[in-house]
Amino acid sequence: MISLPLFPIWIVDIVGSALVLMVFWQCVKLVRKATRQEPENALWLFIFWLTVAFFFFACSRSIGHIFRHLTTFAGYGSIWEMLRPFSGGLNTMAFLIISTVILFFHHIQRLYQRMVANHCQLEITSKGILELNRQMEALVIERTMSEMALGMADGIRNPLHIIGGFSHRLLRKTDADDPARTWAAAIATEAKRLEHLVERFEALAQKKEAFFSREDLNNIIKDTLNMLQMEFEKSQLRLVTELSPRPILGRLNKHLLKIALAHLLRNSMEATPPHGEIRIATSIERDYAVLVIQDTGRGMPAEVAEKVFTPFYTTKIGGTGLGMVFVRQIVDEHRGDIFLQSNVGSGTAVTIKLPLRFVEAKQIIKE
Amino acid sequence: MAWACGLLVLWNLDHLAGHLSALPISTLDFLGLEGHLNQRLVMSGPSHWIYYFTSLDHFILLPACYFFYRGLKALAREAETGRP
Repeated sequence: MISLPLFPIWIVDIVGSALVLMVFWQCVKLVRKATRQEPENALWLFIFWLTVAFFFFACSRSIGHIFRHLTTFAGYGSIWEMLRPFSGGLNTMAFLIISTVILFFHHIQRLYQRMVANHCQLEITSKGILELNRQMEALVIERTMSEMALGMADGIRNPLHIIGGFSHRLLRKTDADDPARTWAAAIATEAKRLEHLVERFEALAQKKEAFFSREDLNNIIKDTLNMLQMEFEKSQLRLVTELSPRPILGRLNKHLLKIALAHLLRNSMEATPPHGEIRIATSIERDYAVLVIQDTGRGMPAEVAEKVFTPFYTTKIGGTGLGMVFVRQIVDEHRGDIFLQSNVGSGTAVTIKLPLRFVEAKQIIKE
Repeated sequence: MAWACGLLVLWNLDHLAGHLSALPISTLDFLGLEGHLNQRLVMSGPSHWIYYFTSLDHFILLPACYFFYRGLKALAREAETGRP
Protein backbone atom coordinates (compact mmCIF):
# COMPACT_ATOMS: atom_id res chain seq x y z
CA MET A 1 0.00 0.00 0.00
CA ILE A 2 1.34 3.47 -0.93
CA SER A 3 1.80 6.00 1.83
CA LEU A 4 2.78 9.67 1.41
CA PRO A 5 4.53 11.94 3.95
CA LEU A 6 2.42 14.70 5.52
CA PHE A 7 5.21 17.20 6.14
CA PRO A 8 4.98 18.75 2.61
CA ILE A 9 1.34 19.61 3.44
CA TRP A 10 2.38 21.18 6.78
CA ILE A 11 5.20 23.19 5.24
CA VAL A 12 3.01 24.45 2.41
CA ASP A 13 0.29 25.27 4.93
CA ILE A 14 2.56 27.22 7.33
CA VAL A 15 4.57 29.08 4.68
CA GLY A 16 1.46 29.63 2.49
CA SER A 17 -0.59 30.98 5.42
CA ALA A 18 2.17 33.43 6.36
CA LEU A 19 2.51 34.58 2.75
CA VAL A 20 -1.27 35.00 2.31
CA LEU A 21 -1.32 37.15 5.43
CA MET A 22 1.55 39.29 4.10
CA VAL A 23 0.02 39.74 0.64
CA PHE A 24 -3.35 40.81 2.08
CA TRP A 25 -1.61 43.22 4.45
CA GLN A 26 0.09 44.78 1.39
CA CYS A 27 -3.34 44.96 -0.28
CA VAL A 28 -4.83 46.78 2.74
CA LYS A 29 -1.96 49.29 2.71
CA LEU A 30 -2.31 49.91 -1.00
CA VAL A 31 -6.08 50.35 -0.88
CA ARG A 32 -5.94 52.56 2.21
CA LYS A 33 -3.60 54.92 0.36
CA ALA A 34 -5.84 55.00 -2.74
CA THR A 35 -8.99 55.57 -0.65
CA ARG A 36 -7.33 58.44 1.22
CA GLN A 37 -6.51 60.07 -2.11
CA GLU A 38 -10.11 59.71 -3.33
CA PRO A 39 -12.31 59.39 -0.23
CA GLU A 40 -15.52 59.96 -2.20
CA ASN A 41 -14.79 57.40 -4.90
CA ALA A 42 -17.44 54.67 -4.50
CA LEU A 43 -15.31 52.04 -6.27
CA TRP A 44 -12.34 52.55 -3.96
CA LEU A 45 -14.62 52.54 -0.95
CA PHE A 46 -15.98 49.17 -2.05
CA ILE A 47 -12.50 47.78 -2.73
CA PHE A 48 -11.30 49.06 0.65
CA TRP A 49 -14.05 47.26 2.59
CA LEU A 50 -13.65 44.13 0.45
CA THR A 51 -9.90 44.06 1.10
CA VAL A 52 -10.44 44.61 4.83
CA ALA A 53 -12.90 41.70 4.83
CA PHE A 54 -10.37 39.53 2.94
CA PHE A 55 -7.66 40.52 5.41
CA PHE A 56 -9.92 39.55 8.29
CA PHE A 57 -10.46 36.17 6.61
CA ALA A 58 -6.70 35.77 5.99
CA CYS A 59 -5.97 36.56 9.66
CA SER A 60 -8.58 34.15 10.99
CA ARG A 61 -7.56 31.31 8.65
CA SER A 62 -3.77 31.72 8.55
CA ILE A 63 -3.33 32.32 12.26
CA GLY A 64 -5.60 29.34 12.93
CA HIS A 65 -3.61 27.07 10.62
CA ILE A 66 -0.20 28.15 11.94
CA PHE A 67 -1.42 27.81 15.53
CA ARG A 68 -2.75 24.32 14.77
CA HIS A 69 0.57 23.06 13.43
CA LEU A 70 2.61 24.69 16.21
CA THR A 71 0.44 23.23 18.98
CA THR A 72 0.48 19.79 17.32
CA PHE A 73 4.29 19.86 17.00
CA ALA A 74 4.58 21.02 20.60
CA GLY A 75 2.40 18.12 21.72
CA TYR A 76 -0.60 20.28 22.68
CA GLY A 77 -2.91 19.02 19.94
CA SER A 78 -5.78 18.91 22.45
CA ILE A 79 -5.69 22.74 22.77
CA TRP A 80 -6.21 23.06 19.02
CA GLU A 81 -9.08 20.58 19.16
CA MET A 82 -10.68 22.88 21.73
CA LEU A 83 -10.16 26.00 19.67
CA ARG A 84 -11.03 24.41 16.32
CA PRO A 85 -14.80 25.20 16.34
CA PHE A 86 -14.07 28.87 17.18
CA SER A 87 -11.55 29.13 14.34
CA GLY A 88 -14.08 27.57 11.92
CA GLY A 89 -16.73 30.01 13.17
CA LEU A 90 -14.42 32.97 12.57
CA ASN A 91 -13.69 31.76 9.03
CA THR A 92 -17.43 31.46 8.31
CA MET A 93 -17.99 34.92 9.77
CA ALA A 94 -15.24 36.32 7.53
CA PHE A 95 -16.93 34.87 4.46
CA LEU A 96 -20.26 36.26 5.63
CA ILE A 97 -18.67 39.71 5.91
CA ILE A 98 -17.16 39.37 2.41
CA SER A 99 -20.56 38.39 0.96
CA THR A 100 -22.31 41.23 2.82
CA VAL A 101 -19.82 43.81 1.57
CA ILE A 102 -20.21 42.56 -2.03
CA LEU A 103 -24.02 42.47 -1.88
CA PHE A 104 -24.25 45.86 -0.17
CA PHE A 105 -22.04 47.58 -2.71
CA HIS A 106 -23.77 45.76 -5.56
CA HIS A 107 -27.06 47.36 -4.49
CA ILE A 108 -25.38 50.72 -3.93
CA GLN A 109 -23.92 50.49 -7.45
CA ARG A 110 -27.41 49.92 -8.92
CA LEU A 111 -28.72 52.93 -7.00
CA TYR A 112 -25.72 54.98 -8.11
CA GLN A 113 -26.22 54.02 -11.77
CA ARG A 114 -29.90 54.98 -11.53
CA MET A 115 -28.90 58.29 -9.94
CA VAL A 116 -26.40 58.97 -12.74
CA ALA A 117 -29.05 58.16 -15.38
CA ASN A 118 -31.57 60.46 -13.65
CA HIS A 119 -28.95 63.18 -13.43
CA CYS A 120 -28.24 62.90 -17.19
CA GLN A 121 -31.98 63.01 -17.94
CA LEU A 122 -32.37 66.06 -15.72
CA GLU A 123 -29.50 67.78 -17.49
CA ILE A 124 -31.07 67.12 -20.89
CA THR A 125 -34.48 68.33 -19.64
CA SER A 126 -33.06 71.49 -18.07
CA LYS A 127 -31.12 72.26 -21.27
CA GLY A 128 -34.36 71.87 -23.25
CA ILE A 129 -36.24 74.09 -20.80
CA LEU A 130 -33.49 76.70 -20.94
CA GLU A 131 -33.56 76.75 -24.74
CA LEU A 132 -37.35 76.98 -24.78
CA ASN A 133 -37.24 79.77 -22.21
CA ARG A 134 -34.73 81.68 -24.33
CA GLN A 135 -36.98 81.38 -27.37
CA MET A 136 -39.99 82.45 -25.35
CA GLU A 137 -38.13 85.48 -24.02
CA ALA A 138 -37.07 86.51 -27.53
CA LEU A 139 -40.62 86.04 -28.71
CA VAL A 140 -42.04 88.11 -25.84
CA ILE A 141 -39.56 90.93 -26.54
CA GLU A 142 -40.40 90.90 -30.24
CA ARG A 143 -44.10 90.79 -29.54
CA THR A 144 -43.92 93.60 -26.95
CA MET A 145 -41.95 95.82 -29.30
CA SER A 146 -44.47 95.23 -32.08
CA GLU A 147 -47.36 95.98 -29.77
CA MET A 148 -45.71 99.14 -28.43
CA ALA A 149 -45.05 100.34 -31.98
CA LEU A 150 -48.65 99.62 -32.99
CA GLY A 151 -49.94 101.34 -29.86
CA MET A 152 -47.82 104.43 -30.58
CA ALA A 153 -48.95 104.52 -34.20
CA ASP A 154 -52.55 104.24 -33.06
CA GLY A 155 -52.06 107.03 -30.51
CA ILE A 156 -50.50 109.38 -33.06
CA ARG A 157 -52.97 108.63 -35.86
CA ASN A 158 -56.09 109.91 -34.05
CA PRO A 159 -54.87 113.44 -33.12
CA LEU A 160 -53.27 113.59 -36.57
CA HIS A 161 -56.63 112.98 -38.25
CA ILE A 162 -58.12 115.81 -36.18
CA ILE A 163 -55.24 118.19 -37.06
CA GLY A 164 -55.51 117.25 -40.75
CA GLY A 165 -59.34 117.62 -40.75
CA PHE A 166 -59.32 121.00 -39.03
CA SER A 167 -56.52 122.35 -41.20
CA HIS A 168 -58.49 121.38 -44.33
CA ARG A 169 -61.64 123.04 -42.95
CA LEU A 170 -59.58 126.16 -42.10
CA LEU A 171 -58.19 126.14 -45.63
CA ARG A 172 -61.69 126.09 -47.12
CA LYS A 173 -62.92 128.91 -44.89
CA THR A 174 -60.03 131.33 -45.45
CA ASP A 175 -59.87 133.72 -48.40
CA ALA A 176 -57.29 133.30 -51.11
CA ASP A 177 -55.47 136.51 -50.11
CA ASP A 178 -55.46 135.68 -46.38
CA PRO A 179 -51.86 135.15 -45.17
CA ALA A 180 -53.13 132.47 -42.72
CA ARG A 181 -54.13 130.30 -45.73
CA THR A 182 -50.49 129.52 -46.48
CA TRP A 183 -50.01 128.43 -42.86
CA ALA A 184 -53.16 126.26 -42.91
CA ALA A 185 -51.98 124.69 -46.20
CA ALA A 186 -48.57 123.94 -44.65
CA ILE A 187 -50.27 122.34 -41.60
CA ALA A 188 -52.51 120.17 -43.86
CA THR A 189 -49.54 119.03 -46.02
CA GLU A 190 -47.39 118.18 -42.99
CA ALA A 191 -50.30 116.36 -41.31
CA LYS A 192 -50.77 114.30 -44.51
CA ARG A 193 -47.02 113.55 -44.60
CA LEU A 194 -47.11 112.47 -40.94
CA GLU A 195 -50.11 110.24 -41.66
CA HIS A 196 -48.17 108.47 -44.43
CA LEU A 197 -45.21 108.12 -42.08
CA VAL A 198 -47.39 106.54 -39.37
CA GLU A 199 -48.94 104.16 -41.94
CA ARG A 200 -45.50 103.03 -43.09
CA PHE A 201 -44.34 102.65 -39.47
CA GLU A 202 -47.42 100.57 -38.66
CA ALA A 203 -46.91 98.36 -41.70
CA LEU A 204 -43.30 97.80 -40.67
CA ALA A 205 -44.26 96.97 -37.09
CA GLN A 206 -46.76 94.40 -38.31
CA LYS A 207 -44.22 92.81 -40.61
CA LYS A 208 -41.54 92.70 -37.89
CA GLU A 209 -42.61 89.34 -36.54
CA ALA A 210 -39.69 87.07 -37.18
CA PHE A 211 -41.12 84.45 -34.85
CA PHE A 212 -44.52 84.22 -36.49
CA SER A 213 -45.18 83.23 -40.06
CA ARG A 214 -48.17 82.24 -42.14
CA GLU A 215 -48.67 78.56 -41.35
CA ASP A 216 -51.36 75.93 -41.70
CA LEU A 217 -52.29 74.52 -38.28
CA ASN A 218 -53.25 71.20 -39.92
CA ASN A 219 -49.72 70.84 -41.30
CA ILE A 220 -48.19 71.60 -37.90
CA ILE A 221 -50.35 68.84 -36.37
CA LYS A 222 -49.40 66.38 -39.14
CA ASP A 223 -45.69 67.12 -38.61
CA THR A 224 -46.05 66.62 -34.85
CA LEU A 225 -47.89 63.31 -35.33
CA ASN A 226 -45.15 62.12 -37.70
CA MET A 227 -42.58 63.04 -35.06
CA LEU A 228 -44.45 60.99 -32.43
CA GLN A 229 -45.38 58.07 -34.70
CA MET A 230 -42.97 55.60 -33.02
CA GLU A 231 -44.21 56.53 -29.56
CA PHE A 232 -47.82 56.02 -30.68
CA GLU A 233 -46.99 52.59 -32.10
CA LYS A 234 -45.30 51.57 -28.84
CA SER A 235 -48.21 52.77 -26.70
CA GLN A 236 -50.76 50.64 -28.68
CA LEU A 237 -53.29 53.48 -28.75
CA ARG A 238 -55.85 54.25 -31.44
CA LEU A 239 -55.23 57.65 -32.95
CA VAL A 240 -58.23 59.43 -34.49
CA THR A 241 -57.55 62.59 -36.49
CA GLU A 242 -60.43 64.80 -37.55
CA LEU A 243 -58.64 67.69 -39.19
CA SER A 244 -60.51 70.49 -40.87
CA PRO A 245 -60.72 69.85 -44.67
CA ARG A 246 -59.87 73.53 -45.24
CA PRO A 247 -56.36 74.75 -44.45
CA ILE A 248 -56.30 76.70 -41.18
CA LEU A 249 -53.93 79.54 -42.02
CA GLY A 250 -52.79 81.89 -39.31
CA ARG A 251 -49.76 83.74 -38.03
CA LEU A 252 -48.24 80.99 -35.95
CA ASN A 253 -44.89 79.92 -34.56
CA LYS A 254 -44.48 76.45 -36.02
CA HIS A 255 -41.61 75.37 -33.76
CA LEU A 256 -43.21 76.39 -30.45
CA LEU A 257 -46.62 75.01 -31.38
CA LYS A 258 -45.01 71.66 -32.21
CA ILE A 259 -43.40 71.59 -28.74
CA ALA A 260 -46.73 72.40 -27.08
CA LEU A 261 -48.63 69.80 -29.12
CA ALA A 262 -46.00 67.11 -28.53
CA HIS A 263 -46.18 67.75 -24.80
CA LEU A 264 -49.99 67.53 -24.74
CA LEU A 265 -49.97 64.35 -26.85
CA ARG A 266 -47.30 62.72 -24.67
CA ASN A 267 -49.36 63.54 -21.58
CA SER A 268 -52.37 61.89 -23.22
CA MET A 269 -50.30 58.83 -24.16
CA GLU A 270 -49.03 58.45 -20.59
CA ALA A 271 -52.52 58.79 -19.12
CA THR A 272 -54.24 56.41 -21.55
CA PRO A 273 -53.96 52.64 -21.11
CA PRO A 274 -53.18 50.39 -24.16
CA HIS A 275 -56.01 50.10 -26.72
CA GLY A 276 -57.39 53.45 -25.56
CA GLU A 277 -58.10 56.30 -27.96
CA ILE A 278 -56.66 59.75 -28.58
CA ARG A 279 -58.66 62.10 -30.81
CA ILE A 280 -57.23 65.21 -32.45
CA ALA A 281 -59.67 67.56 -34.14
CA THR A 282 -59.32 70.98 -35.73
CA SER A 283 -61.98 73.41 -36.94
CA ILE A 284 -62.50 77.09 -37.67
CA GLU A 285 -64.84 79.14 -35.52
CA ARG A 286 -65.18 82.71 -36.85
CA ASP A 287 -61.64 84.15 -36.63
CA TYR A 288 -60.30 81.38 -34.43
CA ALA A 289 -58.67 78.05 -35.09
CA VAL A 290 -59.89 75.45 -32.62
CA LEU A 291 -57.80 72.43 -31.73
CA VAL A 292 -59.08 69.65 -29.46
CA ILE A 293 -56.96 66.82 -28.04
CA GLN A 294 -59.11 64.27 -26.27
CA ASP A 295 -58.10 61.01 -24.65
CA THR A 296 -59.87 58.12 -22.97
CA GLY A 297 -57.30 57.96 -20.18
CA ARG A 298 -57.64 57.91 -16.43
CA GLY A 299 -58.52 61.62 -16.21
CA MET A 300 -57.80 63.91 -13.30
CA PRO A 301 -59.73 64.91 -10.21
CA ALA A 302 -60.85 68.56 -10.13
CA GLU A 303 -58.21 69.56 -7.54
CA VAL A 304 -55.42 68.30 -9.82
CA ALA A 305 -56.95 69.74 -13.01
CA GLU A 306 -57.08 73.24 -11.55
CA LYS A 307 -53.38 73.11 -10.67
CA VAL A 308 -51.95 71.77 -13.96
CA PHE A 309 -50.92 75.24 -15.11
CA THR A 310 -49.27 76.07 -11.78
CA PRO A 311 -45.46 76.17 -12.10
CA PHE A 312 -43.64 73.21 -10.53
CA TYR A 313 -46.87 71.34 -9.79
CA THR A 314 -46.48 67.75 -10.94
CA THR A 315 -47.96 64.35 -10.21
CA LYS A 316 -45.27 62.49 -12.19
CA ILE A 317 -42.16 60.99 -10.57
CA GLY A 318 -39.20 62.97 -11.88
CA GLY A 319 -41.46 65.56 -13.57
CA THR A 320 -40.47 69.22 -13.62
CA GLY A 321 -43.97 70.66 -13.35
CA LEU A 322 -43.13 73.13 -16.12
CA GLY A 323 -44.48 71.38 -19.23
CA MET A 324 -48.07 72.62 -19.02
CA VAL A 325 -46.85 76.05 -17.93
CA PHE A 326 -44.88 76.32 -21.17
CA VAL A 327 -47.85 75.05 -23.17
CA ARG A 328 -50.00 77.83 -21.77
CA GLN A 329 -47.27 80.40 -22.34
CA ILE A 330 -46.96 79.31 -25.99
CA VAL A 331 -50.74 79.61 -26.42
CA ASP A 332 -50.67 83.02 -24.67
CA GLU A 333 -47.96 84.24 -27.04
CA HIS A 334 -50.29 83.40 -29.91
CA ARG A 335 -52.96 85.45 -28.11
CA GLY A 336 -54.98 82.28 -27.78
CA ASP A 337 -56.79 80.49 -24.98
CA ILE A 338 -56.43 76.99 -23.54
CA PHE A 339 -59.13 75.07 -21.69
CA LEU A 340 -58.88 71.76 -19.91
CA GLN A 341 -61.76 69.48 -19.06
CA SER A 342 -61.15 66.25 -17.21
CA ASN A 343 -63.19 63.58 -15.45
CA VAL A 344 -61.72 60.73 -13.45
CA GLY A 345 -62.09 57.49 -15.40
CA SER A 346 -63.42 59.03 -18.61
CA GLY A 347 -60.41 61.02 -19.87
CA THR A 348 -59.23 64.54 -20.52
CA ALA A 349 -59.94 67.05 -23.29
CA VAL A 350 -57.69 70.01 -23.99
CA THR A 351 -59.10 72.76 -26.22
CA ILE A 352 -56.88 75.45 -27.72
CA LYS A 353 -58.30 78.49 -29.50
CA LEU A 354 -55.86 80.50 -31.61
CA PRO A 355 -56.72 83.75 -33.41
CA LEU A 356 -56.13 83.46 -37.16
CA ARG A 357 -55.32 87.12 -37.78
CA PHE A 358 -52.78 89.32 -36.09
CA VAL A 359 -54.36 90.81 -33.00
CA GLU A 360 -53.03 93.23 -30.47
CA ALA A 361 -52.76 92.50 -26.80
CA LYS A 362 -56.10 92.79 -25.01
CA GLN A 363 -54.91 95.64 -22.78
CA ILE A 364 -53.82 97.71 -25.81
CA ILE A 365 -57.17 97.21 -27.51
CA LYS A 366 -58.85 98.48 -24.34
CA GLU A 367 -56.71 101.62 -24.33
CA MET B 1 -8.41 40.85 -11.00
CA ALA B 2 -10.37 38.40 -13.15
CA TRP B 3 -7.64 35.79 -12.57
CA ALA B 4 -7.85 36.40 -8.82
CA CYS B 5 -11.62 35.88 -8.85
CA GLY B 6 -11.31 32.71 -10.96
CA LEU B 7 -8.64 31.25 -8.67
CA LEU B 8 -10.67 32.10 -5.56
CA VAL B 9 -13.64 30.22 -7.02
CA LEU B 10 -11.32 27.28 -7.78
CA TRP B 11 -9.87 27.45 -4.26
CA ASN B 12 -13.37 27.33 -2.75
CA LEU B 13 -14.18 24.24 -4.83
CA ASP B 14 -10.85 22.69 -3.80
CA HIS B 15 -11.62 23.39 -0.16
CA LEU B 16 -15.08 21.86 -0.44
CA ALA B 17 -13.66 18.74 -2.11
CA GLY B 18 -10.96 18.56 0.60
CA HIS B 19 -13.49 18.67 3.43
CA LEU B 20 -15.74 16.09 1.74
CA SER B 21 -12.85 13.73 1.03
CA ALA B 22 -11.69 13.96 4.67
CA LEU B 23 -14.95 12.42 5.90
CA PRO B 24 -14.10 8.71 5.22
CA ILE B 25 -10.48 9.11 6.45
CA SER B 26 -9.94 7.81 10.00
CA THR B 27 -6.96 8.11 12.37
CA LEU B 28 -6.05 4.53 11.39
CA ASP B 29 -5.10 5.76 7.92
CA PHE B 30 -2.22 7.80 9.40
CA LEU B 31 1.12 6.14 10.11
CA GLY B 32 3.50 7.47 12.75
CA LEU B 33 2.99 9.71 15.75
CA GLU B 34 0.94 12.87 15.53
CA GLY B 35 3.12 15.98 15.34
CA HIS B 36 6.15 14.14 14.07
CA LEU B 37 7.71 14.95 10.72
CA ASN B 38 7.67 11.30 9.64
CA GLN B 39 3.90 10.97 9.89
CA ARG B 40 2.40 9.54 6.64
CA LEU B 41 -0.98 8.97 5.08
CA VAL B 42 -1.83 5.56 3.67
CA MET B 43 -3.40 5.99 0.22
CA SER B 44 -6.05 3.32 0.55
CA GLY B 45 -8.69 4.89 -1.70
CA PRO B 46 -9.47 7.75 -4.10
CA SER B 47 -10.71 9.98 -1.24
CA HIS B 48 -7.24 9.75 0.35
CA TRP B 49 -5.60 10.98 -2.84
CA ILE B 50 -8.13 13.77 -3.13
CA TYR B 51 -7.59 14.74 0.52
CA TYR B 52 -3.80 14.79 0.11
CA PHE B 53 -3.71 16.99 -2.97
CA THR B 54 -6.55 19.31 -2.00
CA SER B 55 -4.70 19.94 1.27
CA LEU B 56 -2.03 21.70 -0.76
CA ASP B 57 -4.62 24.46 -1.40
CA HIS B 58 -2.12 27.28 -0.90
CA PHE B 59 -0.84 26.58 -4.41
CA ILE B 60 -4.19 28.06 -5.54
CA LEU B 61 -4.89 30.57 -2.75
CA LEU B 62 -1.50 32.24 -2.84
CA PRO B 63 -1.57 32.99 -6.61
CA ALA B 64 -5.18 34.23 -6.13
CA CYS B 65 -3.98 36.66 -3.44
CA TYR B 66 -1.06 37.76 -5.59
CA PHE B 67 -3.30 38.41 -8.62
CA PHE B 68 -5.68 40.34 -6.36
CA TYR B 69 -2.77 42.50 -5.22
CA ARG B 70 -1.59 43.02 -8.83
CA GLY B 71 -5.14 43.93 -9.85
CA LEU B 72 -5.37 46.51 -7.08
CA LYS B 73 -2.01 47.95 -8.07
CA ALA B 74 -3.16 48.26 -11.68
CA LEU B 75 -6.38 49.97 -10.54
CA ALA B 76 -4.45 52.40 -8.34
CA ARG B 77 -2.09 53.21 -11.21
CA GLU B 78 -5.06 53.72 -13.52
CA ALA B 79 -6.65 56.06 -10.97
CA GLU B 80 -3.43 58.05 -10.70
CA THR B 81 -2.60 58.34 -14.39
CA GLY B 82 -6.14 58.11 -15.77
CA ARG B 83 -4.95 55.51 -18.26
CA PRO B 84 -5.87 51.79 -18.17
